[in-house]
Amino acid sequence: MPAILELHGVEKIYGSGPAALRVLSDVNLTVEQGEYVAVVGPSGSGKSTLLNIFGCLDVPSSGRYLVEGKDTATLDDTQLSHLRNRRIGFVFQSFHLVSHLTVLENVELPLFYARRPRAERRRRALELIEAVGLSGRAGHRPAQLSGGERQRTAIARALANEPALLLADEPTGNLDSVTSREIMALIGRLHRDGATVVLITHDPEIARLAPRRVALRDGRVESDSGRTAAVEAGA
Amino acid sequence: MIELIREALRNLRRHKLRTFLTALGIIFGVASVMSMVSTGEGARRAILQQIGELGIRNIIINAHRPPEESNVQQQQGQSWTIEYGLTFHDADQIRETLPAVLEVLPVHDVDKWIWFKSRRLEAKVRGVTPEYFERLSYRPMLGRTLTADDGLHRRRTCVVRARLLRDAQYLGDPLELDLKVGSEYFRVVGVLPDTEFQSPNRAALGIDDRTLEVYVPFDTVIDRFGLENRKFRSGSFESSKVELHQLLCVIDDENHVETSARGIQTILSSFHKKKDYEVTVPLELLESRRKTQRVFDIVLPIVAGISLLVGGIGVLNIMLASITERTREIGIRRALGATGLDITWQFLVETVTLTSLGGLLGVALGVGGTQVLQRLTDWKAVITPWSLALSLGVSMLTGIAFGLYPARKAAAMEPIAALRHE
Repeated sequence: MPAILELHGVEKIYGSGPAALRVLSDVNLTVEQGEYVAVVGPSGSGKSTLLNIFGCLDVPSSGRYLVEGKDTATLDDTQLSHLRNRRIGFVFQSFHLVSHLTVLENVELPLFYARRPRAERRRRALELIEAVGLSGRAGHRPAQLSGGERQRTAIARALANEPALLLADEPTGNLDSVTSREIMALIGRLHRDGATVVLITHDPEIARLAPRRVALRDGRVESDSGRTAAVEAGA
Repeated sequence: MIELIREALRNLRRHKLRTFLTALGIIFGVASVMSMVSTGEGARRAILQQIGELGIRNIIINAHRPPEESNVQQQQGQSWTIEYGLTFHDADQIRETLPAVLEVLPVHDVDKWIWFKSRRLEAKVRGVTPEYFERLSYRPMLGRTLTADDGLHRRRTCVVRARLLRDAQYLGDPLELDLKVGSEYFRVVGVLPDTEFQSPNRAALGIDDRTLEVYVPFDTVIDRFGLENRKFRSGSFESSKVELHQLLCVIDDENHVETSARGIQTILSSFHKKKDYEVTVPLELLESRRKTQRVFDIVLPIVAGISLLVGGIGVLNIMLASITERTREIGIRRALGATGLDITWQFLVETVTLTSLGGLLGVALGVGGTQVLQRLTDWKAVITPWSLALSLGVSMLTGIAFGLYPARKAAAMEPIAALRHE
């Protein structure tokens, strides 16, 4: 079974010529099925860019990025869309819910783009909403929810198509400490249930919850606690 | 697809005023086109019907009272006799000279008051031959038209229009009605329907209002009233002598109508010193009308095109603003796996839904406006099914034409850039 994701000598450069900005240089990383990885680093270390590449929202300037053994450079825009839809779930710092849709409809969106029948979409979305503890909130708009509830909605939405990989970009960045703990507990529970999680954070407290930690500095991998840590944590 | 439309409707409902204002361009465009098409179609049908009623193989010659100063006036004591109009001689000449003319039907009008009991009726009494009805396709809705026997026995029978019965406020059996013309009583034997179309164009075409005519046998009229007409007018008796008021010439073939008309003009001008007649050729009227119609057929689509172009640009403008405003939503959808095509469809369906709604409202407004216009004027408007279908079709096409660019633009956004957009 191939690794969930593999980076081989990935570089990312914005712009060109003397003004070019090198954000990532020679990043090599492999994440296996069932891992829980925290990517940490100060702002400007390139961790957001890395996450965008993980999520196929951005492409490396050079090097190779493989998702489940498939080289993303060989995929066109539509295939990348399908990959995002079926294999990757996103949780963002600023939630990124569609403001005029209800909780239920937001959770249904990935199912809609997966062309699932209407009845099945509804059933699955309600299941997920219940799983993240938002039963009774299904008909609310994002503006009527607290920050924690919004992030739960986003998590439910990320899980809709049972993705191979859950990507979380500072999921607690806009939440208070109590809510943060709840959200992190939810992510931890998902991991124990078998999800592969890659979490980006600048907060060492949050990072400590992950069995494996990858530290970035100036676009390079500074340290990687390694897979063994994950195995130990799992044991 | 249905879900895309539902979603589109919801998005449009979020900005009701904006949606309405944007659709307004389309609404007015479609409405004005609808009412133009339907009144145009109504007018066209009315004219064609009226001309058709005159018969395209017919040539109609009407007698005219010449202008006053050129009158040949014979003073006889206190009264005047004015002589003008068509003659039996004219009829014979036309019949004998022109082989293409099958028949020349004489008509003599009686300038007398017509009464039902003590009620005076507004009507014109025309002495006609039996063939007259057939050549002009007058079919009775009740009773019969005049026959050769009516003329032969100088019967005092008449055929009236339905309007006359209404004007007389007569409620009994029409075929038992006696009308008094001058000092004579005439029995109604048949009733003709009113001519269906009445439009301001009638006068312009020189077509009589035939709903106010009463038809009596030609021979009876000549026998009873003679050729001279006396009438008391403004203090003195005025007498006019007109042999025939109208000649209805029937031509053997449509292709001979034009040459026959020229022949008739030549014959009449050689026997009439003054121009006291007028030749009406329904076929020519029809052809000149068709030409006018062709101009209309060219101008109308141009006007429609321009108004929809203006409406379409409004839609384009608002959709471009809308995708900018919704950039983040587009980014979110892309991140969740929407393909470029999904995004294109979403916005295209939204635009087409908007213009189709505009089209529907426009059609409703157009139909309503046409009804109002019809109520206010005596124009007859005809709403054809194809004009409804065309209006809706064109407004949908406008949506596609002006929605494609914004939709493609939305789809072409970089997912990551769209997501970061504030």
